[in-house]
Amino acid sequence: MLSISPTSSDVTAAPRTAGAISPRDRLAVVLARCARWTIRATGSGAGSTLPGRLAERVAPGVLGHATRGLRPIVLVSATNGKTTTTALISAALRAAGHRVMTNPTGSNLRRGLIAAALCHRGGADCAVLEVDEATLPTVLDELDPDMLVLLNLSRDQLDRYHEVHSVAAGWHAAAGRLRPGATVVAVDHDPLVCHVAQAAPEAVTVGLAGARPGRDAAGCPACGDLLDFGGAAPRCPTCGWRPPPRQVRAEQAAPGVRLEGLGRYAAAPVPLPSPGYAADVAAAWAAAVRLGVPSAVAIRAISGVEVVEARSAEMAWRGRTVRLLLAKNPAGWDDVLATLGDSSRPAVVSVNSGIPDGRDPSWIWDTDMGGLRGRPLVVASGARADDVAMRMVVAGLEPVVEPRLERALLLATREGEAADLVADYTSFQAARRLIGDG
Amino acid sequence: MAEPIRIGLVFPQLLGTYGDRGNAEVLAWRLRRRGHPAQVVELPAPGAIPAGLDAYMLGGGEDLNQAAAVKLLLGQQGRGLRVALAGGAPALAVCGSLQLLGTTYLDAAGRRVPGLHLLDLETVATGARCVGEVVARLPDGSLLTGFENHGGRTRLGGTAEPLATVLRGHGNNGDDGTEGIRKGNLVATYLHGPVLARNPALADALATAVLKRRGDAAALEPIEPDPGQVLHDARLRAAGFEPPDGGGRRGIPRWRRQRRGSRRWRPPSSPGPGSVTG
Repeated sequence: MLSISPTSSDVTAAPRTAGAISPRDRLAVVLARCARWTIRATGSGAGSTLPGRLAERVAPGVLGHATRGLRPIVLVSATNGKTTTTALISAALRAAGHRVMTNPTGSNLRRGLIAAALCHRGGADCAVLEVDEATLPTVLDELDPDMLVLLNLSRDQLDRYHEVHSVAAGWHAAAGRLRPGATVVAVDHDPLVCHVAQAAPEAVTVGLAGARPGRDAAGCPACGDLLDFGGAAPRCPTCGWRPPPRQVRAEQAAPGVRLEGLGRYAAAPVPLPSPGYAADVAAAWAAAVRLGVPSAVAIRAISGVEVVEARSAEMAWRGRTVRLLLAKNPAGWDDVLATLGDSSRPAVVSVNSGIPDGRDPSWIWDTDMGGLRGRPLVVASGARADDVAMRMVVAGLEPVVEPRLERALLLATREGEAADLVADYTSFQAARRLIGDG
Repeated sequence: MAEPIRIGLVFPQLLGTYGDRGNAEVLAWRLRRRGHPAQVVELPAPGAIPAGLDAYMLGGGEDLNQAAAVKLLLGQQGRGLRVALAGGAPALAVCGSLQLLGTTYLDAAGRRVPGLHLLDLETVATGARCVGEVVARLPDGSLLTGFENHGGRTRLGGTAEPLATVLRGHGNNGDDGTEGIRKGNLVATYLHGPVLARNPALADALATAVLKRRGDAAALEPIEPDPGQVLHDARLRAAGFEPPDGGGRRGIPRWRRQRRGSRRWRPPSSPGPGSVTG
């Protein structure tokens, strides 16, 4: 019944972390589940953080205890694509017969991880957890993972993370603390992520043909000097750093992605043909194969996942169609623009810059918002609609300004019409609630 | 027809982490809207920076990138920039670039990074990071709005003139009330936003300096409606400050109530968009 009970017997034989299942831990589980039940029953939320907060208060260390004995434990982190890739790896492991503990709602801070671990029902033999970039080093020792899947690292929420390099330094130190045999699966597009893989006991590098390094790839991850991108792979002229060779090669082949590496070959039709999604699929496949899932089983499961909730969804609303696209940082915008292609729908861009988004929306100036040119109508929305409008005007667009999301969507479409909504995290959540309410 | 105004964006891949490239785009846009052809010229590292551009925009970067940029700027690649700035070219330096134009920067890892010695200031990364909204008062009484995010604490030298006085936030160091520094046509600040997007008056002061150096003394006409002014007023209000002039009919422009309560920004016959990069 409890996710921790089936494993408690072998804990004494091979403890992965200090301590044992205590009465306090059991109390924490009861409290967490009561809290989640209450929150959900009263319709006040998904119950994905408060239960964790309560549990940690009652039983410090409960995260390590509740996940002990699970094999494998996979942690997924990145600036973009965490939720998607977590869903893909979970699907692959389930298809191979595993019972997976996971946090599918994207609640990826410490409290969210605890809530996921304690509220999981039906037993589990392994865990696939999405972890916030800055949180990863702080939970590594408790969770003692078998695998880290690291997708990308670029500027995001800089009011909280401050510097991309300091997040990378945290990952690098964490990779060095992994126990022998643990593996980092790394998408090799960003030099910072490659550098982390080089600190790990074992590494599998994955890359998409033709992918270009992101905006925060200019400096050498080892010494900081300017990297030379003149050759086939970047190289540091000062300290000689190079990325590790690519082991899993992925190639976009409309409407899918072809994968080759680890002695296997696979092809997947990808429902969302953006480069970011293709890289997530490649990393998930590599992770699953490395964990022993047969390639064909993994790719079938991965292809079957409809990642509608995570970052892209086409939804019906009041006789209209609204395509929701999550874009919360410049790299996310690149991927959204690639997804949109030459769509000629009206577009609404909503930026709230709430605390979960990062309170500084300056990053919208690092996006190519001019990519929305040619739309019949663009609407600047969200709490920071005026910031978005100024960005759009300077990019040559003529936005309508409407801070309220509901009115913005009504402005953009008449009944029977469709619009694209590009939204930061809290705007995306608000849109899902709005559309869910009808 | 005169040559278009060229606004250099210095080492954007190293000094462009916090959206500061927007300053170059905003300055070019505000000039074009007044009928002065202007373009943004990207100057990626490690290329040499030409001395003959009309303005230079330097943004904020992370510690490691800043150190890499300084190394280049102190060398042959940076000679053009040093000559231009010493010669009074209009320029804006934000955050990390404010630090690197000073004498030294002692970074968070304890490395001493030499500066370009163009501004009389020095910086030490110490204490809690300064993060949040800033409101500051310029010497003419008008307000400056922006978002700061820096670990460095900057002290101005005795002869240096601060850009503004902090009303909210930390500014240069969190205790002497100064924000940024101004030396002739060179403006340096800790404010992101980007600062020229959120402060049209500051952008126009730079634009005026650019035109004056090209021998054009004509005053800039107001942009109507001005989305930069709307943004400026909105950010001040969000920080609890009423714009001094009521923000032009309390900051609510005429077009606010169009289209079921929404505003549409319409360009009056403008020379057209299209920031040229090259």
